[in-house]
Amino acid sequence: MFMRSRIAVLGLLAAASAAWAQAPDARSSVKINLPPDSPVTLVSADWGESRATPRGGAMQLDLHASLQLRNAGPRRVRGVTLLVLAQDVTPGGKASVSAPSLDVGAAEVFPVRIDLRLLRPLGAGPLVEVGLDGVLFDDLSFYGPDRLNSRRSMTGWELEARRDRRHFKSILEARGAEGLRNEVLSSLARQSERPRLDVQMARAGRATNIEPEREVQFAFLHLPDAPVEPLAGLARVSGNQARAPRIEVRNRSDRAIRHLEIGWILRDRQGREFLAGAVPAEVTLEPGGRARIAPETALRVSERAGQPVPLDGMTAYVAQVEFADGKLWIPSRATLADPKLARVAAPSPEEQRLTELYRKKGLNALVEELKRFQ
Amino acid sequence: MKHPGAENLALYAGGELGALGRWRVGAHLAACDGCRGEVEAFRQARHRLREEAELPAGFDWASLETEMQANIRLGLAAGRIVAPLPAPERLAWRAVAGLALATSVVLTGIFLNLPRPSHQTQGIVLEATDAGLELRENGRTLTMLQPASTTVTYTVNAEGSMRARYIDSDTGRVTITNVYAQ
Repeated sequence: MFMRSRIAVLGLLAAASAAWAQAPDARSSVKINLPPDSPVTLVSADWGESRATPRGGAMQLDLHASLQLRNAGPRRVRGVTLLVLAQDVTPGGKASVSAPSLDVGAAEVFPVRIDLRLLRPLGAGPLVEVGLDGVLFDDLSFYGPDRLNSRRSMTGWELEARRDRRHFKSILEARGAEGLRNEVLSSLARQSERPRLDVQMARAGRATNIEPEREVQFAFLHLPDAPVEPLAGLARVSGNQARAPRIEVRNRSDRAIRHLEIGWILRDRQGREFLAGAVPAEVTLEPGGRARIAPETALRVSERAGQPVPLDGMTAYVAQVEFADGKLWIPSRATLADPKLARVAAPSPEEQRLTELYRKKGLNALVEELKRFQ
Repeated sequence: MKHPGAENLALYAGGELGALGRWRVGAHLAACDGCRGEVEAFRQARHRLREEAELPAGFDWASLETEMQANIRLGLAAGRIVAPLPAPERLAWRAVAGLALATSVVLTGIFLNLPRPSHQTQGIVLEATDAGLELRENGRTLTMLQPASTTVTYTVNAEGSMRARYIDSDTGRVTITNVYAQ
């Protein structure tokens, strides 16, 4: 009997050690790969509270990394996007972390944080690979493989940043510090009043609601300075789900267009409106030409508490246009002053950064920050 | 190949099967497309039922109450006619310890090999959760985390990505995370 107990104890110890052997060290689960000619280099990586924990038949990896990157080139860096790949976990998916609104001079060091969680079966191979997708410089030139279209995203954020800094500076010059304070306060008020809902998205989604599906026409916000005009559109709506948007657009500029993005505003049955997302499209639109945008996607909207939000109507507007020569069009501040747009549209990353700077450090800090940029 | 019964597949789909049964059915599903399809159908049926939040109009509460009382009476009557179980014989302490250890080994093995419950998915699903942006695919998950106390702006890209933007409270810098279903 004693011999049998000893065997059982040994078996238990073997099982426990096997479990720990399969729990990788969080740091060794991550590989950071920057190209040899990268204009930013890795100075250090702090892994903080990163850990890998077995959970039943799975492994949970909590990764909290603070990377210190150095601008190794001569130009000022305005934005960086890191690609996060976990192909073993999500074969069809990937992720990224971007740091826009930067102003990093040559040889200066700046931080980028990566916080992620992976849940995958035990015994699978290594885990996370972090690479560089792109770097944007102050002359709007770009370096990187651009697998995630970071060039377009970061250029858009940089143009918005310049537009919004110009806007705040012009208010400072015209109305003084108190005028700037009022403008920042009204921006903070808009940000806090924006409705916050949970949105779930599925590719090629299908209706699973009990409610019958119906076609709902888009209403359009016509922006006078937009190079593209939306003509007609509809999507299929059922309960809290909207899917399969179809929007017809016309190029009313004298330049060829290769990409555009339509903002998609949803309205619930109480009449509340919120910006659900963007409908982007790669197009070949010659001047005067027409195109139809029809992504296979489904959005489901719910309150933060999980209660579904039944949808009633939709509005669309042109949010961004990329011409064939790579130049971008974004809405002007005057366009964004449209009451409906001002109510639902998110502030640019730079407007959010500047208003947060005011909130944390006050008006003088904001004025000094605006003066740093010419 | 011997297939699990429909009731076991239904219980498995709802996460209501015992640990051993769940392990056995999970092992079978790994090799059987047909049963996997049945489990998926049960899950979708449960999902649809969950969404049907309201009871039908004219629901008969009185009838339900009567039926429940009858069931309780039947259960009490059945309990009265069941004879008490004989007391178990005392085992030697070594035998008890050995049995406990062996049970521990078996339970540890089962626990380590439990399949993770998978979410209701339609291929890749992207979702903004309290923890961050979540990418789910066949029960595997990648979440781009964000600080709990931060105000986050979410945007969805209909081409198949989701974005979260927030200000890092330590550095005052903007961080934008994306998950892509492409």
